[in-house]
Amino acid sequence: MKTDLQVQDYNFEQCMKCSVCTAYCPVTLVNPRFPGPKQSGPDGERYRLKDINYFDKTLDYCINCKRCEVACPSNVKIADIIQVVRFRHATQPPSFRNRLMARTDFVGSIASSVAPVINTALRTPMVKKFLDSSLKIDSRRKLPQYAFTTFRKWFFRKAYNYQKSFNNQVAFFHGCYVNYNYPKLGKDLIKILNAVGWGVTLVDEKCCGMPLIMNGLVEKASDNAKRNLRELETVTRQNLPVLTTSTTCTLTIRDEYNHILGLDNHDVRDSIFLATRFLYDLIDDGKIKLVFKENSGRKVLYHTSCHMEKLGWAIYSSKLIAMIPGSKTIVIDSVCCGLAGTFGYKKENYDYSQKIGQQLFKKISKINPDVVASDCESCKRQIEMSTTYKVENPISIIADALDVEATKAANNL
Amino acid sequence: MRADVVFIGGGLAALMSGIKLLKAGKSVIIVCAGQSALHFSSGSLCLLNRINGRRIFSPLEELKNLPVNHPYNKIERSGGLAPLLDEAKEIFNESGIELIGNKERNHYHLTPFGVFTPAWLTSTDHLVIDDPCNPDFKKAAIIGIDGFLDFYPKFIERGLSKNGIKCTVASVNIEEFDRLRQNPTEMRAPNIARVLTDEAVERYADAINENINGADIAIIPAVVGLNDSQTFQTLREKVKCRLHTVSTIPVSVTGIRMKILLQEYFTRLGGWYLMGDSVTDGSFENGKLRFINTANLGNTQVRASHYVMASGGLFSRGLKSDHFRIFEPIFGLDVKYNTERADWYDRNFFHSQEFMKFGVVTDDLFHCRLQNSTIENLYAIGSILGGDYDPLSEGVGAGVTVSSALFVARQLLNNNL
Repeated sequence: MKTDLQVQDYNFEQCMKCSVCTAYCPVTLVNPRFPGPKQSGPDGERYRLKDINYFDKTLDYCINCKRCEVACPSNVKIADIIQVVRFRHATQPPSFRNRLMARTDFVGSIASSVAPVINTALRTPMVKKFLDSSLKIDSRRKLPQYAFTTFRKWFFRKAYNYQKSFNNQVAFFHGCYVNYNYPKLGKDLIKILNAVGWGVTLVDEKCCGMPLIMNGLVEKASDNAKRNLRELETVTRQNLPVLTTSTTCTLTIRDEYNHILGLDNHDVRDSIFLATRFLYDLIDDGKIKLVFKENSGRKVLYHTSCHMEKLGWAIYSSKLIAMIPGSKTIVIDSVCCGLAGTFGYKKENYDYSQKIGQQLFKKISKINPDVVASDCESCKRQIEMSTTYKVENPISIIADALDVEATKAANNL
Repeated sequence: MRADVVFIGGGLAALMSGIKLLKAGKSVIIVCAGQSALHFSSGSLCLLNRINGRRIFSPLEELKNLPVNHPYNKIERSGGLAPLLDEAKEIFNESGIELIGNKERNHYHLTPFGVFTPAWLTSTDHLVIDDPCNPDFKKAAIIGIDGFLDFYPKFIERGLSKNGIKCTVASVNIEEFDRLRQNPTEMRAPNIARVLTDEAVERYADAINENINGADIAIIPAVVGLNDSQTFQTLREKVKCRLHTVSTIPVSVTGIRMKILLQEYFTRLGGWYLMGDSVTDGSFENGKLRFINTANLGNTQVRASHYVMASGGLFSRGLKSDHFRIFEPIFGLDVKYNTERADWYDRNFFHSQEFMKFGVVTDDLFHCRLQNSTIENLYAIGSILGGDYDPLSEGVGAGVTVSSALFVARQLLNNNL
């Protein structure tokens, strides 16, 4: 863990106080108690370096969406400063609720094992009310549903041997969401990759750590990160590209491990791609071809999640969807959906969360697409709960439209 | 990754040029490292205000009095400046940016210092007059906002009084501003604009109306309408006299609105705007730029038939300086500057500053040069341009930006890329 924060690592002294970051901060728009990225980040840091009593808890309102960093004309790592300072100066240990919510893999493994029961319970008003009053998890929020058979369990039972039969191999860092909540996304990716001649192996992974970082469990985040880096180094030493389907996991491993946790990730950073980017590059280089079913084109609205905006890879995902014949892909200017991982589940944040999302919800209903595409599972949850539109990961949209046999033939398989 | 044209930089120049290319059916990628200088816009675009200190009224008639290698004269020699200026106005209009003014004769807009300054195009919410000696109003109510420190009614009062205008100064508050005031340092123009929606606009109008005191016009800070022109129209309809805005200290609401609307138009036309990404390097071969790499796209090579440097001047880091030189940081393009550092600036802040003239060397068609050889598919537009012009003292910054942008686009289209 980075204990000796070097301010120059964050371009702190480059801040010229222009406030462009604050103009693009989704939180300041709705929450007057949050002083905004400039004040909480580089401005506040000037004071905190002199006297730590200038630290205050309002920094917890930051959702680490990184929009301030994307907007900054001077390349100041504003959100990084805020996160590092948050746990460097945390005065109290995280609450039981926050510790619980941060452990997406631990909670996921327990919930999955009793999925039929827990899924019903999490939809029951009385249970939600209880969670609201006891844990301050807002009862208005639609709670996650869990898969009875996790993705890993399915993979090792049903897919493992067949996957080994391919000469070309990728490693898949599936993340907690695919494993515990939505294994279909992982299966969709395997379907596409197999059709173009690539087999899939899994990484022996832990939660990427973003929920831990955001809930102040930084030691645990570092443990997970070190473990993941060790596994990823093993995989990348075999020259396997590492694919992901979650923008947040991707950003965390590529950037946050180094910028926030201070770990050396340079060996693996450039081997980790969103699957959409990997597929796009192969197609662009003429190495693979995708063939789609007739009449599979739909009106797709591509929503760029905050972490996708930071990664800068929306161009790959939306260009990939646009390859489906007859599809109409509309890319809207990127705005925050408001959920921000565990943030919007917390009672104290629910109203802010929904207010932040208003701009996006309005944009979506104005365009009225057949389906919304997003590479972020949080955005999917938030948009599906707050609008009448269905949200799919681009990988699922491609998989659903894919003509597997024709694709295999086109790739000489 | 391929496109017909890739822009390095994403401000006014790249957006204007990119939009023109998209309208002609070309594919365009813009790589933009951080928000642009449009965020510091005064709300006005200037075409030509002064030559050697002499005030200019009809810019197009004065081109012959500018140096032969002034960007305007380069453009005038190859196809003409005037049509491009008309086209710029059209693009602003199509984007939903409402501007007044024309290329034939400068108008005047009121600055935050209470002075009338010439301009070519000005946002319709700002205060604009044809003749500063003869304003079309006699009495003005200058209405600030409690605790908003980026707007100085007293400066405006002093300036207008010199023109014989009677002024009253007031300060208003509505409950939405109370909320903002919880963080006094963040009481900034765009933050105010973000809370001024629906009911807040009505309350703001009421507060303004209470302080008109029989004035012909009310002047308020430019804090209305971050995303569209409609919000200001709504406010204007509710206020009981003529209503105008004056720029605040940056960040500029008018500038952000221009940027958002231009970018939305660019995206709607199918352009790719890579926000928060930066070009790391490029590969040159036989006098041509073959591909570029960016920080976010990593190993993916971005290939285009043509590339355009629109990365801005010293302010936007399109140019950088150290103690000995001025340089272009991405490719190391040839830059024209004075090697005698002591001559870079004049000690009198208000004089023409030599460093304002520094920039990348281009030929008549705005091709860039690398180690003295022309790169045939790399152009420079906007404030990165060096040469015989001073954007500030001549008041030609926006005009050069917009016209060089559209000139290069026109040239690419004429040559069929």
